[in-house]
Amino acid sequence: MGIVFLLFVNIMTAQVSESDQIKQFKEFLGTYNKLTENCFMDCVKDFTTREVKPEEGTCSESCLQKYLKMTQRISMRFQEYHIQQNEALAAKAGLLGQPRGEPDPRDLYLQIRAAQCSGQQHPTSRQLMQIAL
Amino acid sequence: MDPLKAQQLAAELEVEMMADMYNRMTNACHRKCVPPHYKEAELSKGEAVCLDRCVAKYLELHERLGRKLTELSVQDEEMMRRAAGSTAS
Repeated sequence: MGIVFLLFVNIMTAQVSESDQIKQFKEFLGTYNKLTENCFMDCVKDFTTREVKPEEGTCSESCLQKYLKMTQRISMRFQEYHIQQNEALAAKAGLLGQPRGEPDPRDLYLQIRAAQCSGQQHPTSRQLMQIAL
Repeated sequence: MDPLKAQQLAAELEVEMMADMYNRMTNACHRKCVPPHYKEAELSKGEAVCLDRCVAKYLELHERLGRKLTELSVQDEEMMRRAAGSTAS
């Protein structure tokens, strides 16, 4: 009883909305159970005794630390991947500038059209015409 | 959140967690103690004893890891508080 309450109180102090915190905590409890099962399966092999042997104890503590670091790393890479995906999408949609500082072709087109309407020739359209002809 | 409500909520969440743990423990001890031969319907003496020990061990491990996790999360929070304090000052 005590452990869950302690963990709960510890986590509920951050500046996040209450229902989100509860969701977070539930997920955390799920992780706790998963890692117990995982570390038990991998570390505990001796069933000639009810006691947890010292080597099984140290194995499971290392297992715990590793599991937590693993989930952190996975979460980090997952976020990175999604940030990359979003940036790629945004660049395609023209919301961000082109990478490497080249002019956005849409902007250039608009400038050329504006120049054409005012009867002037846009320097770029001159270049393009020279290439075309 | 007032402390009584927090306690109630923690108790509810604990019950849920215990139910999940029970399922996982059953699964784990089944895989550890009962070889998938199924030559007869009864649990052999060896399998029965293994299951007793498995349950004892699983529960002990669950408690140990819970204590360690609490330690780690308290440490983490201390670190964050110190970091926040140092940036504030």
